[in-house]
Amino acid sequence: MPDIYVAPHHKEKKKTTQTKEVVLPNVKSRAGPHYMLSSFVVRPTGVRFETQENTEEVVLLLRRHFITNTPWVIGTLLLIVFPFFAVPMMSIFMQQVISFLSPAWIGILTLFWYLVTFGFLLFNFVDWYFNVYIITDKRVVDVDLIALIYKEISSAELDKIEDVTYRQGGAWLTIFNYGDVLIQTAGTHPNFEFSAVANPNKVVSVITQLIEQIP
Amino acid sequence: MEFISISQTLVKLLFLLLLGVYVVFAAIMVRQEQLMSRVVVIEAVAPILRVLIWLHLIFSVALFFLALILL
Repeated sequence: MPDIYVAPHHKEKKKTTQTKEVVLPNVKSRAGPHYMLSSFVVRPTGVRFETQENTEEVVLLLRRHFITNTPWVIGTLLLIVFPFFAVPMMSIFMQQVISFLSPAWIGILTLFWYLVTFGFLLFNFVDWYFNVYIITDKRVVDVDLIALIYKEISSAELDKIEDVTYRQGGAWLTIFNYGDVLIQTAGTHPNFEFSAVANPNKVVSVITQLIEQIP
Repeated sequence: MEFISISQTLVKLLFLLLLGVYVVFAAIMVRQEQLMSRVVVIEAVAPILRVLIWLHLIFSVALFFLALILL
């Protein structure tokens, strides 16, 4: 008996599991150990974060622009050279205090001074080093470490991002090309502010392009 | 004479207390680095930073005991 109706065979569409290659807009990849201290690293190698998925790739690793470290770098240099000027001055104007201190006291105080200087340097460096903004091909992650004892890690998927803008004003920021990137997210997700990041225009461009590439 | 001796002891105790607080600060820095290096792993820099932070703690403890003995 002839078939009245034969349903056409639909070829099942193969689900592609391969993720699309993310093309970065006019940003040179500068991966390597010496760039790990940079404030703008494209596709860094050897960088992972706690909640990273196996298929997730870090596209940008950002920190505050290194120029924002100027106050504490100058502060550290001043702390290093201060005893060279202060001790001779004290020996002239505060002779009684100097005579009161035994050589052991002077030695311990000098060591303590340079220990505190080293601690000041480390504290500020760690504060800068661990305050990172990570942009992956799936989300943005903001890691905040405040005064060593308080940390906050927040993330938002790229499809939850509604608006990305940047703010750059003032001579200093224009000369060194850094500024704040503001990321608005949908619903209850927190908004993000990447403070004083280098090349904010490129950051916005990369995020926008990543959002466009979401399948 | 006795007043000077008491004041010297007091200054020494206060200085040791200050050094003790500093040792706690150095220990907090070590712990925080351990926790943060789990959150963000940067293989190229992490070992160097860890060594520096541990050296800072070791020097702090050493200075505390040095002060305790010498002063």
